[in-house]
Amino acid sequence: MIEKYDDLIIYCPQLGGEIPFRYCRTVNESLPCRKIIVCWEFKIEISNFLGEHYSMDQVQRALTPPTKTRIDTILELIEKAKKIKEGE
Amino acid sequence: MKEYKVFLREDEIPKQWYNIQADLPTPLQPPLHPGTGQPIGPQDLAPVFPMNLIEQEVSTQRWIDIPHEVMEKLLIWRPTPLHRAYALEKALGTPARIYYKNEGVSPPGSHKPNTAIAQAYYNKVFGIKRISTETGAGQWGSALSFACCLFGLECKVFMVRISYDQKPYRRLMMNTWGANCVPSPSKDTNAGRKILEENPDSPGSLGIAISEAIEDAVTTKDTRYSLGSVLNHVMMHQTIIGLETKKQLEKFGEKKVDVVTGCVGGGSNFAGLAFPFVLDKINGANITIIPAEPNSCPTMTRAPFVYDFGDTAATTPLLAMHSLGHAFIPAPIHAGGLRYHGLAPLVSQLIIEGLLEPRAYNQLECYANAVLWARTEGAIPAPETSHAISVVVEEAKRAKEEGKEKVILLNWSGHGLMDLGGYDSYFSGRLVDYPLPEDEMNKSLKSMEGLPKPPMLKKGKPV
Repeated sequence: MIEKYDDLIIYCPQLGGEIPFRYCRTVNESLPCRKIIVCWEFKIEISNFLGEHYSMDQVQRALTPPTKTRIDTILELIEKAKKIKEGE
Repeated sequence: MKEYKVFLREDEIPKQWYNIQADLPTPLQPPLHPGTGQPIGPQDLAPVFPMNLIEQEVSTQRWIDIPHEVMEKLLIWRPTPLHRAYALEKALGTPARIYYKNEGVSPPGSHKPNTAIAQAYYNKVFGIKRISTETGAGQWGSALSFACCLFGLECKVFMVRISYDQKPYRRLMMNTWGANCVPSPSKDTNAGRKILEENPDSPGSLGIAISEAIEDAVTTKDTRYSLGSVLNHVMMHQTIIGLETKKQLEKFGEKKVDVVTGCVGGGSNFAGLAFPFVLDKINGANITIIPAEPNSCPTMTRAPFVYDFGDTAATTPLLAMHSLGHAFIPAPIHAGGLRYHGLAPLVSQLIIEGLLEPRAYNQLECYANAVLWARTEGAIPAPETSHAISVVVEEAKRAKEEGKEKVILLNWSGHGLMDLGGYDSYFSGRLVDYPLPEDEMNKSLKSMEGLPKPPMLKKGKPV
């Protein structure tokens, strides 16, 4: 059952607060957080959990660092904003 | 009678910020545009920052006047006291004299409003009416909300939804200061709406919140974005901490400091205390200046010098800094403010120059020292601050072994009253130490393959 650890609590250093495991397994566009293994390996059988509930492709997608930079997103947002202003 | 703390009179407060860019042995390398790989210009940053702050960002003028309007607001809680930690000294049995600058006395409870006030002011005089930002648990969001309130600016804070729902107190602080704090993802931006369409119950993430804040800034009239760390002008605004401290040490009768320390996340509170002392060191003073970091997030002590993105969402321009890679998210330590994977380029350069000597500490040791601090000096430190306290304890014990009367100076960057959950975990034995394994770091570093590598320069020459 994928929900079996959902109510376990951990401190998330990225957010600066406590969160349930449910957040860690869904935060990455419904896939696990990239650091889920580091954060949870001393608390649950995290490797087994990932193997049981996700395909290898999903695990790789979840744990692999993103290649697209967010600066591209900023530049895209600037362009979108210009278009919105032009349309007003 | 012993003096426990020294205040400055309000007319003694420093009137200028110190800009260490004027004294760097090697000038900072320029940020690169991610699209072209070429150095960015002011216009590239103009959609998200006002031009007067961009000018400060690249300025090499040594002293920059603190505007009267900023000073008026800083005086609400500044000058902050410099304390002598007699009780801690006694507990450690050290001959060292330990001093700490108490930045926890600001209304939001940390050093962060030192730059929030300045940024709000410069936005206002540039004609900006509204500032957007993101926040995780709410420390930066509450500081900026406070600053915008004082200058009559609107403030929009995108707070990661899970924190918004679970950590109401800082959200309520923001609301009390008049900010519009919304859970992220929100319906207010295209980025947020897209997430909500796909998952109406999305708990959010820091990356989503940053995307929303920047979209808000670039699409809303008279709005800019604000960042609470990493950037040069943020470091400079914090130097009032160290400049005040120098005057206060004189009043204590100290002529020389041996050790200066602060915790480092993005680097701003450390820079604020340390940079004025780095100037002394550049000019020949014998001072050991120690930035402290968690052992599970070894940005300074183990990471190479590379170009990388300024935040975990990779939304800022490429900056030259020590970094573990933009994909790096620290292990589960109880120090939210130390979550930056990369630190300020200015701090990175000073490490390369050999002017700083970073150290890393395990969280159990840090909590033990934080509890020792609370049980001697009284105030409960923020988890981040406990890393710098660990430097103090280590150095005080060394002074005892060596029989030397060292003067040790600490930036007590904030209280931990909003972070008592971490103490609860410590007392209940639920915390574990987690030094970053080599293979984890190597995986993270792979995220930076293909990015341009800057030359490492020391005193202007390649090393």
